[in-house]
Amino acid sequence: MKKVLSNERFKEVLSKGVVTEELEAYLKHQQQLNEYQFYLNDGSFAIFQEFRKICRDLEQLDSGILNAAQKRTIEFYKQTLNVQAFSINSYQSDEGGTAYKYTNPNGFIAISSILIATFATGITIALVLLSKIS
Amino acid sequence: MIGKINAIVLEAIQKFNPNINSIHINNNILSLNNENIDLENFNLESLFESYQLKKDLQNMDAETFFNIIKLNAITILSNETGEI
Repeated sequence: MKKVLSNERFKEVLSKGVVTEELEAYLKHQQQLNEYQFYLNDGSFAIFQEFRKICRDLEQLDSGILNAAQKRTIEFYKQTLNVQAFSINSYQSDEGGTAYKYTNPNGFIAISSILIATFATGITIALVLLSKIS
Repeated sequence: MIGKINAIVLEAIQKFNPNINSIHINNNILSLNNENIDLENFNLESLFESYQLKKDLQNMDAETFFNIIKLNAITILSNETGEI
């Protein structure tokens, strides 16, 4: 059975900056983890999540300072794994074990917008009433 | 020890889903057709940490289940040893 880079070794490869066959094999493996993410045990899922976090951190960096390995990783992440509209949350299922579900952070934004709009409307009405009373 | 546990777990799964009968285990080496996986210290029981797997296992085909085991085993074993 052919193993792949560990996440620790992946970080070392990133710091060295060279795109190697091992890096490509590692990225391909991450793609498979993404495809089968709902069938991963807790350990594998945590390892996959760590990879995604490394990618998200890289994404925050100025692209001008990225080396070749980092650029390749970001390119792979954007093309294959970047699911910004969704995030995965884990929870304990009723039947035991860990279950995962997608949640949409835009839902949070939508609810926040409604609350802010309601609050602003309330203040406006209060101000109008106060001005009429005075 | 882990080999015995994995053999028992596989046997139980096969009773639950006979589609998986084409997967064999011998000396902790899992095989399907011509492909083998040395499970080393990977515990098949850990697969049931996935709610989705428990849900879908009954109707899963052997190849899919074999790939899921392989993916999990490679991930865990690679990160334990740090080997390439």
